Amino acid sequence: MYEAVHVAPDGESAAARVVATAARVGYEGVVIRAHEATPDHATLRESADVDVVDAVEIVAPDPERASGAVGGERPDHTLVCVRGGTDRLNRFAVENDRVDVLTRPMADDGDVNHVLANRAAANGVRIEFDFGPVLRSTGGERVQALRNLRKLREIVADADAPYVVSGTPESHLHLRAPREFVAVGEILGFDPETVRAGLREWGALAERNRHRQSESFVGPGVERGRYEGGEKR
Amino acid sequence: MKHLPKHLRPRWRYLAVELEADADATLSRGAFQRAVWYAAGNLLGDPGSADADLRVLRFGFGDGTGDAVVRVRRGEVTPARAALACVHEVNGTDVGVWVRGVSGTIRACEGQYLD
Repeated sequence: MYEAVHVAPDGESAAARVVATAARVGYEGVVIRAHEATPDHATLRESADVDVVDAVEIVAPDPERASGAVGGERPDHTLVCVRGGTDRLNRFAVENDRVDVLTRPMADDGDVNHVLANRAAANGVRIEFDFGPVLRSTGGERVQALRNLRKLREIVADADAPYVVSGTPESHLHLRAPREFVAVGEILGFDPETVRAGLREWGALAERNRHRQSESFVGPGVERGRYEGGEKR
Repeated sequence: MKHLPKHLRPRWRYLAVELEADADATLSRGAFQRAVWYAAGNLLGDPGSADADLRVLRFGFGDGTGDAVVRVRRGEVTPARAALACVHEVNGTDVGVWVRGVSGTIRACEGQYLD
């Protein structure tokens, strides 16, 4: 299972510390969703015995600027995430099959409906269930986050849209173990297997994209290399 | 009051909890207990919180790391895990809380998970 984290300077803790903590609490890998951060993925991968995924999170005020960033960042990173939060940004992200994950779709003024969820399913854009506000806020803010999470859960399930689960940790102290996510999810009405699948999805996505970016990949189902099936005549 | 016959006494599970905070932070058992009750009350509500009956039994903290044993009623381990996951602050300092394991006795809990 994987967790998608923020590291300094986007978050509060250094990348090495976040990765080490994630390894200790039982993750197989860490997705570093960098906005301004430029972590050294190769060194991190060597120092910790977990997978470290190179991801970028595009935070833009409007789809026009986000679109430019997606085009620019796509070749350089394994995962491209777009932070939602307004209806236009959410719409842009789910319409664009070069985007891997739409993060925080319900934050601020953002909203998701069946139309967006269906588009996300068609384009293979993962919608993020953000558990962060559930874990770290209180009072009315938290009630609102819970309400949004429930709405999103029902819409995503109905459209059978792909999804990921994350606690959006901004420091190593915000990280929580996979079993804790499952427990919190159960209280909120998530199926335990749904939460686990959402945490695993980050890893599956990274593996798919790495394969696509590898040299042997030509197109879906088409590979460069030696012929392997059956004997030569 | 006369103590309860064995079959009426509550059964407990003990969670070994690992804590982390900034190196100069000072955490006390009482403050952590309050944070746990507060988190459980907010997440599980009064009935759920009473069912889980979370209590911090052992507590140690120094140099930014620590551990604790938290008692919970048998059968309420999942809600207890969820409540502990929502503890993110004790006395205004950020803390990381991770459940290392669950045992049926305090001694096994300390022996297996906290050393």
